[in-house]
Amino acid sequence: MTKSRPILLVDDNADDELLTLDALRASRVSHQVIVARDGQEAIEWLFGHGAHAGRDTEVMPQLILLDLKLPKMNGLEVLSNVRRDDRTRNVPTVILSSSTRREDIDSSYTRGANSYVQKAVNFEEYSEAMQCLCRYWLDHNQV
Amino acid sequence: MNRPPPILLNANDLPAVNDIAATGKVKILLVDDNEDNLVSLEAALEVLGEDLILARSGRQALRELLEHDFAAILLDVKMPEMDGFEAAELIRARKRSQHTPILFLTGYRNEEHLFRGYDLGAVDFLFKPIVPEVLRSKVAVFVALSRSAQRQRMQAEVLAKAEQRFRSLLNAAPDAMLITKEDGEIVLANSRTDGLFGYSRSDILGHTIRKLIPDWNPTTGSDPCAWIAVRSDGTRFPSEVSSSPLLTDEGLLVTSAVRDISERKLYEQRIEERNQQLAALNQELEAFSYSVSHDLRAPLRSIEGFSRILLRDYTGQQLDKTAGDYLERMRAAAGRMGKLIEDLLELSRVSRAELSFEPVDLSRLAESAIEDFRSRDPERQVEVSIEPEMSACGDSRLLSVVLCNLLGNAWKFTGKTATARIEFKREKIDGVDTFSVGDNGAGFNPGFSDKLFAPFQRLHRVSEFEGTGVGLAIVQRIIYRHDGRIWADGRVGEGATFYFTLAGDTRTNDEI
Repeated sequence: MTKSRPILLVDDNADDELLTLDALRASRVSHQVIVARDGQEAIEWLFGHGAHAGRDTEVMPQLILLDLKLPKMNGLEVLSNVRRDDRTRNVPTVILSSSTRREDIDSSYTRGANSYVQKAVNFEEYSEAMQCLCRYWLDHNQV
Repeated sequence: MNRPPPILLNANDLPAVNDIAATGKVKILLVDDNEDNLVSLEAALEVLGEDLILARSGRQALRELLEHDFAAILLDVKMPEMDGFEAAELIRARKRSQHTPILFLTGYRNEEHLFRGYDLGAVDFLFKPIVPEVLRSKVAVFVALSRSAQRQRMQAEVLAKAEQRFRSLLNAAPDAMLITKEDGEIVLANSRTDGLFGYSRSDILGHTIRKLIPDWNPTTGSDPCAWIAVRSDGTRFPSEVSSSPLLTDEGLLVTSAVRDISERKLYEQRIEERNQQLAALNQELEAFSYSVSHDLRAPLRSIEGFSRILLRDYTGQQLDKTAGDYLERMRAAAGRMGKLIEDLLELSRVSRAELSFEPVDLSRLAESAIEDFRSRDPERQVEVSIEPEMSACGDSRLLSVVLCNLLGNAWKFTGKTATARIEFKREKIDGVDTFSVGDNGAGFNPGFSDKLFAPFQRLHRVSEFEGTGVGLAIVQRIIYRHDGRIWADGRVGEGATFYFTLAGDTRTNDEI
């Protein structure tokens, strides 16, 4: 595999982060995973502002895994920002959320989400979903 | 301004005057002391076909007059005791006969007689010898006159009755009824008007209706108008005015029914407030559901996920069999709670979801549910019979939830039955299309059938048949939202049948 670009995981829940990282490992994903704990941090990392001023913004993630319910700036706002900027417009963004509300799913797609995955209570299901996603967005998809 | 109320109905609108009464025989009184004269009068007039009543003296004539009304009286002038003139005087004195035409019969032309006769109200004199043709034609005129007078009297009576009916209807109306000319001048108002507006009727008759309803306008369509009305003391109230044109002999009039809708407005306002409160409550519930769905699930995910990772990565090393068993139990419990949360969310969702009504192929939904069960439980042998082409009108997503639950229960509770059978069919029960899902599984104690649909009610131990006890509550709510009914039949060990109806069958989206 060529030197891959990182995955940006945006999740404020440390447990969920660990579980997601485990699932990614189980899917044999070797990409570096950058973790942002709220929406604002995600945006600052992406565009090299604030705490991440000076980051090499040439390196954009190959995939963004984005929770919806986030402190400071929620997932939908992050998504809108990502889709608005030329540098990130084409970065595949997958929503990972506990919510199965129709409104959440609809507004995620309206704002340009590429997939919407429910964080199932059953970890095995979640791992499988993660495996499929990674295979698709990291291995097969051409941006 | 005082004016007589107009006649509001055309005579043509009234029922026809009773024809038998109008064409029935009239009575003619013949008075003569001479029997021969009476006989010849009778003979001359017989052909008219009317009732001829004979009197042989003035007194007898007066007696007859007490009992009958006559179209005409033929009165001999020269009679003993009471002569014709005296009799005529007495006839005229009576109210009942004061206008009855009197024809005097006299033997000779005497100026004095004539004057006296005419003075007494005679309409004519006939001189003896009587010429039958002349007599007949004269009497015929009075018969015709009498008939037409009678008809007019009856018509007037019918008219008066109709108008009386109209007025009592007007006064019994719960609304203020005003009849105006096209320009709004009030010509008639019912008694309710006084109460509603605080005017006495004489204060408003002849005035414009705009004094009561400033925006009044006769040209609006048939829909009632909501206009502000003004009472005599200047206070205002919301009113609803229905106007309709009334074409009469006197031209175009407008009937306006005015209803005070203050109370209704008040109720509407209250309903609006309640609706807002409900909407606020719903929103709270929505927020609650959202945090349930999000925040309650997150810790479960941790328990479930990390138990699983422990089991996966540490079994056989740091984890002995007992530890593994405990972790497995934790994981399973987290899974059950996750299912419970999902079911509760579904219950709240189906209660609030907007229904979209459309034709739904229930047979197909049932088949796909069964296919799903079969693929999950490939080792099970279940005989399933689904009546083809059962369709209904309803929300397809929610009806699919109903069938998945009912068929899922049937599938689950036949899990320990040797030759499991499930049947989904339609039949008419009390004339209503009723769907039923029946099985030959574990069944239930019919004494508990009313508890079946309450959330968290379970009639079996989790160790026997797993479940959260919310499924049938969800089903019931969906059926209720389709204005249908649901009930169940069953016996322990003999299976269960769930029946449901969908009143939505005849509805379309427009009616919801």
